[in-house]
Amino acid sequence: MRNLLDFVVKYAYFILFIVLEALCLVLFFSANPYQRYEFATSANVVTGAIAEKWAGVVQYMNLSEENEALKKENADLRNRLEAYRRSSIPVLGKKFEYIPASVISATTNREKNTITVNAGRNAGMETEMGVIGRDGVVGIVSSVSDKYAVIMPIIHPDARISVKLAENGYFGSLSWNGRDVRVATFSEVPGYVDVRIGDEVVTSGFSAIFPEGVPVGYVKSFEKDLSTDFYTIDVELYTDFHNIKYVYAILNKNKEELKASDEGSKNK
Amino acid sequence: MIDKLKYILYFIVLLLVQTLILDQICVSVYVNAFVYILFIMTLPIDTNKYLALLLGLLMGLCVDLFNSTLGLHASAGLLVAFVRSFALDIYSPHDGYENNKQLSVRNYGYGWFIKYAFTIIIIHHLWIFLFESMNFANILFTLAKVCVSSLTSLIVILLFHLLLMSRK
Repeated sequence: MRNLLDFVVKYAYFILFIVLEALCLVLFFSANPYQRYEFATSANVVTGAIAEKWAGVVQYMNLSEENEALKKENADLRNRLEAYRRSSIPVLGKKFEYIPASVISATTNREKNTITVNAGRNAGMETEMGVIGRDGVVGIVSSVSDKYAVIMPIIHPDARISVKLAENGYFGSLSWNGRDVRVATFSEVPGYVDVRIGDEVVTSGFSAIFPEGVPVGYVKSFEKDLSTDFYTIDVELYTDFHNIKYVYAILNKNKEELKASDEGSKNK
Repeated sequence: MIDKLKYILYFIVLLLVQTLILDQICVSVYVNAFVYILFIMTLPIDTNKYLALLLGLLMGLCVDLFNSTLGLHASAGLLVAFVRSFALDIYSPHDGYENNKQLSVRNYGYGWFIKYAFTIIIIHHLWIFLFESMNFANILFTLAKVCVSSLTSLIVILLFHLLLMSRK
């Protein structure tokens, strides 16, 4: 016993270091991509508020440029709305609702990148909502606090998005290899499909996170794995993660109904 | 007292520069600059070693909160605080360190500072990138990242050191 005590006293510093180090690493490796503890992410009140203030200062400097981009997007949406009005397709009940948010902080050069935005639970954000930007799919909401939310972008290894080739509807999943911020990998497309460079890749709509047909990118190059006879397709992403200011989170109305009916049947 | 205030200010400035500026800039996936470890590296020579550990942990935790990487930078900050005393011993000048002299370029020269800082930077970056990727298939990519980012960090750290700390 005395020996043990002597040992502890002698190596107290080293033991403290090892214990704290172990604690940190346990925290790091037990983290779920969909963090339950919002205070432990950049969505927490303090870091969120600081990042938001700072983003306000930076944004102010790019204001005219931003205005121009928003104007263009607006015009584009008006044109599409006009085309839609003229077509005779009946408008079904609104399935998706969009929640606007501004980016207050974003990393792009990490292996696990994140985007923090200034809309949270109070604005209707929930985890596992799809997020799109001006040019296409951005990512999935991974954690939410009252005022802020953290988005897991396509450029995060845990983000997997169900996508398809717009041309022929063959689907698979999109993931990121950690190397190039502009390129993601589209896998699980069977080898007999006719894939061409430049083909558009859009969301499949299977997961209820994204509506069907949201643009993601286009085929940059592809390769057939001869042993499995599946394609590995490099997709050039439309979203420029270096320069992302505004995003829209997607609220799926059907999903809520599904959830409600699910709970209803459980209660019976 | 003034000294303590000075270090609290360094802590805040380096934390904000790290999280609000450096973490938001992207040149390439190979280039990551970490300036926050400068705080731990330049704590006064007579800082209690337990206090140094806790300060390293605290700095890392704060960076983690901004980055949503709970545990990663905390563990790395802790490691830097631990390694610091060994690095100081290895590069000890002939007549040793003096308690009231700040660990700076001005007091111990560029050669000393670069050797000391670069040793700690490489250990810190190896730790961060290995744990971040946790994938030994990508080991060459990770090592390339460590090399490029270490040089970048050295330049940024030297710059901020001269800017903030090495004044009369």
